[in-house]
This record gives sequence, C-alpha cells and structure tokens, in this order.
Amino acid sequence: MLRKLMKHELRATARLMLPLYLVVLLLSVGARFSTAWLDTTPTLSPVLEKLLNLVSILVVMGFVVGLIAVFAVALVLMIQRFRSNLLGDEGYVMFTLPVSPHQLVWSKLLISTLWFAGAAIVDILALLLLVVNQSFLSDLQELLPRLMERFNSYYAAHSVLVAAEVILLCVVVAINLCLEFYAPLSIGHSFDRHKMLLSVVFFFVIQIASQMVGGILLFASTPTLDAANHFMNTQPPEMVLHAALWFSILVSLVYSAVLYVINHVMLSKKLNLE
Amino acid sequence: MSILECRGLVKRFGATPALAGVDLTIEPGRIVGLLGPNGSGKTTLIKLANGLLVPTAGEILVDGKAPGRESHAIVSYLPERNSLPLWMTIQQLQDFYADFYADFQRDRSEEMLDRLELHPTHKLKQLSKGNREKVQLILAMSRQAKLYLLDEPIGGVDPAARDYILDTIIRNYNPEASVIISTHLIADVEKVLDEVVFIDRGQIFFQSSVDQIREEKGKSVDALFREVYRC
Repeated sequence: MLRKLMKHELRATARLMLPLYLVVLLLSVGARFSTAWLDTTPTLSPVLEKLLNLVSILVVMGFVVGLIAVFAVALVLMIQRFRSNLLGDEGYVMFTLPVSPHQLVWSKLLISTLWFAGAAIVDILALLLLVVNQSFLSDLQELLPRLMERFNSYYAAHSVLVAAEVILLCVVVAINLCLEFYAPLSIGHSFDRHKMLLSVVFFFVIQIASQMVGGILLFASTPTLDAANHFMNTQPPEMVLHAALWFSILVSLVYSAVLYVINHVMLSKKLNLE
Repeated sequence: MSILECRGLVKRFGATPALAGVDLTIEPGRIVGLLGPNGSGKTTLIKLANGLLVPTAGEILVDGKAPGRESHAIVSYLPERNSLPLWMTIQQLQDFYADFYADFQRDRSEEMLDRLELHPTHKLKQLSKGNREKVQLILAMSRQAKLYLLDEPIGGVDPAARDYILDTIIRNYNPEASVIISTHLIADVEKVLDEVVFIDRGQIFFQSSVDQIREEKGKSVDALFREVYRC
C-alpha cells in the first residue's frame, strides 16, 4: 500500500515540480547565452543593445531566482501537501483508506525527500550547463590525471565512504526537515479552533525546545570534551570526518524519531478532522 | 454481529457536547436513516465511525472493531462535502479507488457515470458543485462494502438526479450490507429506508422500523419528523 500511496503522491506533486525543474534548466541555458552576450563588444544600435542587455540581465536574475525557487517550492509543497491532503478536506479520503497513519506519513516523507534530492540535482545540472565550455573541459582533462595520482586506494575507499555518509546525512536531514513541519501541524490541527495559528505557535515551541535540549546536552557533555579533543588530535583526519558525519546522522535520527513519534500519536490518537 | 455499535459514545468540542452518550446498534442488511436537524450530531457520529474524530468517552465499533485500517476496507464513506482532489480527472479518481479498495467495481462506476453524463476525462474542478457530489457518490456506491456511511448524499443535487441516486443506492448495495444515510431531506429518502434513528442535541431518542411508524403511529416518517422537531 505504501507503494500505491507514493505513486499517487508522486502524481500529485510531479505536475508542479517537473515543469519547475524544466524551467530552471531552460533558464540556465538562457543565462549562458545571456552572459556570453553581455561579454561581447557592442555591434548593434544603442537602443537594441540596451534592450538586449536588459533582457540578458533579467534572464540571469531569473536563473538565480530559479535556483533558489526550486528548493523553496519543494519546501512549500511539502508543507502544503501534508496540511491539505491529510489535515484538510482531502483528509476525509486519505484517512478512510485501508492504510495505516505510518504509511500515509512515510509516503509524504519519501516523496518530499525525492523532490529535495531532485532540486539539488537540477541545481547542479543547471550550474554545469552555465559553466561547462571548452576551457572548462580541457582544465578538467588536465586536473583529473593529477587528482588520480594522489588518489590511492586508501583515499579512494574513504572518499566513497564519505560520499555515502554525506548522502545519508542529506536524506536524514531532509526527513528531519519535513518532520519539523509535520509534527507542529499535527498538534495544531488536533485543536478545535485556530488550527493554523496554533501550528505556527507549536513550530516555534518545538524549535525553542530542541535548541534548549541541544544546549543542555552540550553542557552535560563538557566532561567528554577532553576525550573528543584527544580523538581529534590522535586520529587521522579522515577518521575524524567519518566520526563527525556519523555523529550528525545520529543526532538528526534521534531528533527525527522524537518528532515522528509526536506526529504519529497526534494522527492516530488525536485526529480531529472536523 | 452488529455492523455498527456505539456504547456510551461521547464527543465534545471544547466544552460543547456534540454527542452526549449515544447507545446505538445497527444490524446488517438494513437501510437506516440517521435523521435530525442541523447540529444534532449526525455528521459527528459518522466521522467517529470513520475514525476521523476520536471519542471523548465511550466506544464505537464497526463490525466488532474500533475504526481503523481494517474497518476502512469494509466501509464506504461519503463525506458531507467534496473531499476529492479537484485537480484529478474522474478517470484518475477511479484508478485511485481501484488501487486502494479491492471491492471497487469499475464497470459499475462507468455505468453510473455514463448515465449521469459525466465524462471520465473531465477534471473535478471543471464540474459544478452538484456534479462533484455525484462523482463522489458514484465512487462510494461502486464499492461492494459491508457498511455505507452516506452523509447528506442528496443535499446538493437537483431533484431529478436525487431519484436516480436513491435508485442507485437501492440497486447497488449488497443485500447483506447496511447503509446509513444522514439527511434532513426526509421526504426524499423515506421510500428507501427500512429503519430510522432520530438524533437531537447529541442524543438518540427514537429508533424504529419505518413499517412500525406507519402501522403504530399512522404517519409517514416525514410527518413524524416535522411533529417531533417542530420549532
């Protein structure tokens, strides 16, 4: 059933995200031509020159806005889908399907994470489309063999591991980001009135509470700082990097688990679709 | 085993009681009218049966189980307002129902859509409010469920479509299933009902078969309702 929920969630969100991805990629091509145009010496009439300059500047600005918008829209869509599809009128349909609240939430979490990942890939592709040219490729051709020389099997193994850890951290952080909005929305919508206002209030309550808990834990862990320092000074840098990444993954996982439990309790024990 | 059972069911919104201790049993194979004025607790009772609200006290059981994943598989619910995503086409909604409900009968839905001149390629947002209600009802009635919970199924549709919808309810439901119709348009639904439940201010104060009302009180359900709820 999770697969079916994900299929429908994908269908509901792709109609907005896919055209947006395409627009950003087209803007990057436009920005490439625009920057090339702005670098050329003028050969046209001054009026046409000014007009084309203006258009080029607007396209470049649009490209920059597009790079940010692709993440901003993914974020807003993630919040809006949870609120309207589960906690709004559409919730009457979703919460009467023969599926569990876990499946409903996971379908949203996974598809939102997919769009965040897509946004990152599209932004990287768009930047490459902007900068890749003959000199970039020849520089890369020169750089790669030198990089490979230094890249012995020890560093290669660690690099692959670090890359995997960074990807895992990004996924956990994306899920954590979703839950930071889902949990307060579920709490706010369990009340009879002022559901959105209370959701915003609980968003800040959770943020402040998590900062306080983080501060307290940091303070409580002061006695272990020496041990951490010793670890950093005695271990090779790649091991310190692994430890830092795994520590970040663990902290994000614990925080996500707390938010997930709050969200699940509200949706399964306090659902209030008036 | 009864298909729906409420024991001392209480639901409060803040200090306001929406249901104040409801005891109710609905047996399989009955078409039941849940009748009462606006704000009497009809919709709250139906939402509790669907697990969309959580009781403040007491319990509600569907086929012997608390509302949840298992009961959703055997209950077909029609909410009182449109809750289907407006961006979807009718065909996409049929796919959606077919994906999640093993008892969804696509050919039945197509027949009804055809009869009401609703084209599968139309998006819901292109349709009028009444036609959206028809689509929602068609999808609900195209399931072979054990319990149909229909909240104001004919409230927003024209009188001509009302007759077709009521006929559809009669024709399409499994004789072993139960249908609970919440409405205040009693004259229209009276002809299809086996049983009525009168609810007011969150309490059930009368439950009887339609035949019994006619025989013992010598009145139609509509006449009895007007007498009971006279302002």
